[in-house]
Formats: sequence, C-alpha cells, structure tokens
Amino acid sequence: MKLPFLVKVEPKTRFPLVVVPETNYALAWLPVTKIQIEYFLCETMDSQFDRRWYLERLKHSPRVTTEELTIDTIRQTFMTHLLFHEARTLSGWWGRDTDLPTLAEWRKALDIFDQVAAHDDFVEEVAAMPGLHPHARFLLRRVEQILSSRSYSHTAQTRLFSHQLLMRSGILEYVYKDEHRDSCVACGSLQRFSERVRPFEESFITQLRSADTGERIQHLGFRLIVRNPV
Amino acid sequence: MVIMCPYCLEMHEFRQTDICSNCGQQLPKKYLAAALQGSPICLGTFGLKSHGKTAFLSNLLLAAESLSKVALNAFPQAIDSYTSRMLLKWNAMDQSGEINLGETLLGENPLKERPTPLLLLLSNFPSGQSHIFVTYDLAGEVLDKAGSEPEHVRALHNVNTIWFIISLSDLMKERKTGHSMRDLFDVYEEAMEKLHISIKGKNILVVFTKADKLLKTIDDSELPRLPSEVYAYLEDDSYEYEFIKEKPKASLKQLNEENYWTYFRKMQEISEILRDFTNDYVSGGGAFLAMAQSYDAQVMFTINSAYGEEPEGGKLPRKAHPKRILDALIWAIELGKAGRPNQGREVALIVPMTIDGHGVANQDIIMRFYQSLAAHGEHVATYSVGHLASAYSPGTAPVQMPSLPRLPLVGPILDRLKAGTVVVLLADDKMPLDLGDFVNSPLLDRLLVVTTHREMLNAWLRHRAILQNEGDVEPIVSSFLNQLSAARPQE
Repeated sequence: MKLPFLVKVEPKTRFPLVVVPETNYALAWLPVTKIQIEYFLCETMDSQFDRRWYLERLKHSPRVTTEELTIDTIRQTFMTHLLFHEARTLSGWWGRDTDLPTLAEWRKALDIFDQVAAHDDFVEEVAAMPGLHPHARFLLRRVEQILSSRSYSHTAQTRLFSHQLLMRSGILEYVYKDEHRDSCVACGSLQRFSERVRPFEESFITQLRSADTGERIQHLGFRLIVRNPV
Repeated sequence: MVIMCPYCLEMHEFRQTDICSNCGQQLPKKYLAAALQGSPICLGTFGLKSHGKTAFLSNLLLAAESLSKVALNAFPQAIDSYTSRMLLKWNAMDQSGEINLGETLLGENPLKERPTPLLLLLSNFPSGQSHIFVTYDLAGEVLDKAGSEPEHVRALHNVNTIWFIISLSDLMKERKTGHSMRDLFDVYEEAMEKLHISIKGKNILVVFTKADKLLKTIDDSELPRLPSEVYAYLEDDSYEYEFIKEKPKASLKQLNEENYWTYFRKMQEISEILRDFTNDYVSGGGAFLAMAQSYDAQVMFTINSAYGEEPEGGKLPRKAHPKRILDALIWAIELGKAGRPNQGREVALIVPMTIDGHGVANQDIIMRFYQSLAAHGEHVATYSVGHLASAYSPGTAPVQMPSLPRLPLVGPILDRLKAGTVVVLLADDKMPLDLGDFVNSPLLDRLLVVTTHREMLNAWLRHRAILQNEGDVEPIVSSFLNQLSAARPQE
C-alpha cells in the first residue's frame, strides 16, 4: 500500500520528515534521536553542550545501539531529559525553518495522521528512500517491528499512522504552548498503546512544573518541525 | 559528496552548496557537476624561470580547442571566468603573433597566495570520454622560494601528474651556474618534505620545451644532439593546431579511437628514447632518474615547441607553429587514468581526543601511522574523535594534534566520509560510545581499530590490532592494507 503522505529527508542528519497535508509544515517521522544530536555535539563549540552535559543526560537515559533496541529500551534511542531552552537550541541547529512545533501544529498533525490506518508498507517505502541515514533506516524498521508486535499493540486493526510515528505511544515531546513560543507543554503519551479518542484527548497534554523552563523528565524529548519545507 | 576544492586544494563536502567551507570560494557549477562524475585530472607545472612553462600551457589549451576538428564531437570548455579570460588573451596573441605572456598565470596572484588554477572540461576526447583538468602554473620564482616557503608549491600536492618543464637549451647554457635536472628534483623533494607530502608513486612527466632551439642549433657543441627519431617526430606533427586551424576538416587525419592508440604508442616510443637521451646526455639527468625511481615515481618524457621558433622582441617572425603540444595533454589523460598517485585510497585516521603521550594518544605514534599510510600511497586525512571537521586535511601530516575535550563519538565522522574511505581508528582507553552502532555495517570491512588495551577489542571488529611499541606501526598498517587489497576483487 502506498503512503498517502509526502515524505522528505532532512539534509543535516538524513532522517525522514512527513509533510502534513493542507499545512505549510512537515513533522519529523520520529522524535529526535541521540544519534542525530551526536552530529550536533561533534560540530558545536557551545560549551553548554559539552561532554559533561551529554554524559549527564546519558545517566538518566542510557544510550542503546540500534541493535540493542527492544520493547523495553526503545525510548532510550531518543534524546530526552532536556530543558525547554535546550530543546529549542537543539532544534534550531537544523536550520532557520526548523523548530519545535506549537501545540496547535502538533495537534493538527495528529488529527490528520489519525485518519489513516497503519501499514507496514509505509515504513518500507520510507526505508527505501535514497539518501536516508542507514541508522534511520534500521531504526524505522526496528521501531515498526516492536510497535506491531503483539505485546505492544492491542490489535493490528486499531493501529493508526500516528502510532507508526510514535505520536501516540513513545515519549513526551516539548511543544510551544501557543504562538508566542515562550512557554511549553509536553505532548504525547508514555503508554505503550493508546486507542483513538476524538476529539484530541486532554490526556495527551502534560502540563510541566515550569512552563518557562520545562523540566528534566526521563522521557521528555522533542520532535522537529520544518516550516515551509522545500 | 566530498570533492576537491580546486582553489584551496582540500577535500570538502559540497552538499547543497557551491561555496567551499574552507576558503569561501564559490565553485563553478560545471566543475561541481563534472567532479561528481569523476575525479579531476590535476596537473601542476614545475620548472625554472624562463623555461617556457606558461608558453607551453597557453598553447596546450589552444591545442585542446582545435581538437573539435580532428576528433568527433570533442570540445573543450573553460569552466570558470578566469580560464575564459586567459583563453581569450592567448587566442588574441595567437591571432596577432604578438607574444606577451607577461607574468605567469600567477601574475594575477601575489606569490604569497595560492595560484589560481585553470579549469578546463574536455568532452569526448578520446572518443566517449570526458575529463576535467585542474591545472596549476607555478611561477619559476616559486622554485627559488620553495625551500623556505613551501606553501608556494602546495598546489602540487594533489596533482596526479607533475610536469617538470625543462628547456634543454636553457638548462645546458645554465650549466655554468650549476643548474641541472637533478637540482629541480632536489627542490621539489625538499618542498614536498617540508609540506609532509609523500611523493611516493607520483607521475612525473618531463616536458622538454623550446625544442625549436635544439633543432636549429643542432651543430652547437654546447647542446646535446637530439636523437634522429625525435627530430623526425617533431618535424612531422599532423595535429599541429595552427595547421588544423587552417585546413578544412575533411582534409585532416582524424584522431579517432584507433588512431589515438597508434599515436599514443608512438608517444611512448619517443618517451623511451628521451629517457635514454636524458640519462646519457642531459646534465643531472641520470641522477634525476635514479632519484625519481627511488620514490617509485613513474617518469615519462615528451618534447615540444610552443611557438615553433623563438620570439624576437616579443614578436614572432611569422605565426606560431607549435610542435607536439598535444602530446602532454594525451599523457595527462593516460597518466590520469592509470592514476597511480590517486589510486591510493582515501584514509581517515581518527585519533584520540586527548593527546597525553600514552599508548596511541601519542603524537609520535600518530605521525608514524600517518607516514606509514602515506608511504603506501594512501591519501590520509586526520580527525580527532568527537570532532566532525578534519584536524588535518588529506595529504597533510598531523604535525601537532590538538587535545580537544570532546565526546568519544565517531559515527558522525564516519557518516560524512566519502564512500569507500578506509578508516584507521586509534582508540585510547575507551572505545567511542557509538562504535557499537556499526556492528552490522559494511564499514567494518574497511575499519581498523588499533589500541594498546587488548580487552577493548571486540570480536566483531574484523580488523583489529594491539600496539605494543612504535615498531608495530608499519607491520600493522601493511597487514591491514594488504588485507584490503586482497579483498578488493571480491567487492
């Protein structure tokens, strides 16, 4: 079955983005991974993100190789345990049009992706894209394998495209609370599987202790949004 | 895609940009497109002042322009404005018979700066093949400074073929001043040594210029007598470009695929004759050949005359009649194909982030690895673990590796390397955090991990070595490269 959405490969770390129909933005297929952030860490001279900073983050969410990914370690592949401003800085490294999504953008994307049932072919189609990072390819397939396993899903029939993107079952993600982009909430679910409930469940929004700085939570990371994708 | 910037001569990633991140120069789009199709043929002239380097080079490009009349669909294109300007200038001189080369091409570049290359795309010559030529013309003055300021000859470090431009008549006259062919090699060797550039296995094309002088003064006892075969060869040039320009295409002998190889075989014969001649009669010629051989350099010879006769007062008595100018271009193509210097793979030498003198985190050990790899003809760039940009670009020795407080990561470095790059990772007391990501990667076929800590070497590393002392470096490198060479045919 053919993927009904346009997918692009972002040039900096070569992970996939899904263009959200009827909008002017694309969302990353997966939350940002540690492998992606390691590109930034190998490039930046910003002392805020030094060796000590990263090793401290790894204490709370140890690094796993793609080979070691299991149902229990899948969340550790993503870059988490961040503060809000760190997530903003990191997302800005990708480029001028790359940022954290707003709550409205994230919510709209979820709504659209909920309209389509999950299918294995979608992942294979993306994995076959030229130029994709080899680890992105491996990760997409491994995540799909885990998500579609019996122990993860209730029934294959109820899986949605949004599940494949880990928007309903993965980590929490920083989003801007509103258009002012000076405060944050977290979106997403830490549950292994969540049925579709419409309209957008309030349970998908986590208020943080500080909307200004966010808070370091073991499984709180972020997902990239690219506005006006080329 | 990693390609060589023709302006700063360093390898860079040009992904979604045509600006070199190192020197800030904008690369011509045609160059980028052509370089993506195949490695450019890099040529560099090296010779004493007034030995005819620039005259030869200018006529070479004009000769390339005339090819469209004798080789089907062949055509050259200047791919940057600088080369276009130079071609226009030389064409004008050719039309008027006025010789005013002025300074060398370096004239537009102060000596302290790197020279601007000529960028030429030659399509469909020989039949069906296209080549991009990056040519550096170094001023004769550069040689005087090469020893003290070797940066001037850095342009030669990436070249496939070094053209030693020698006017035999001038060289013989200069004997009294002590100049000989051997001196030329000495200067070159010294400069390359200072730049830590290996000359092992480079192609050297000796271009004897101003052949017209040798033809005219054949009875001059000061000058060596050219062998009769060479004399005849110079007189009978079917592809002399002035001749080609004047004649209709139908009356010209076509340089088709078959004729091309016949022509090339004759060039090889002449090269052998000139080799013997150099050995026997040219001042310092025997020593030159012996020194080149000691570096396993392939030496070829060609002879030509840029104008056919000597200009007087900046004006030729009649229009230029260059002799056998095209030969050097054909040599460049054929030596470029053999590509002995660049046959060396690209190697990324990744060293510990902290150089504390222990184990492999030792400056001397790092230099030994670099030198050993370079001596095998490999093109080595040096990186620090955790730092995406190379600390030393390909072909430059890591004379002083910095200690950088970075993260022990190699994935981003490995990912950005050109496909097929061989990797030598010197691991100190900790393996990079992300090395495990490559457990099932094809990269393992060309990754060597060297450490002093046996317990760190995982069984899944296909190429691994324990370093016990500095004497182990060469055997480790040789063994690894031999294994890679043995595996090549199966790839």
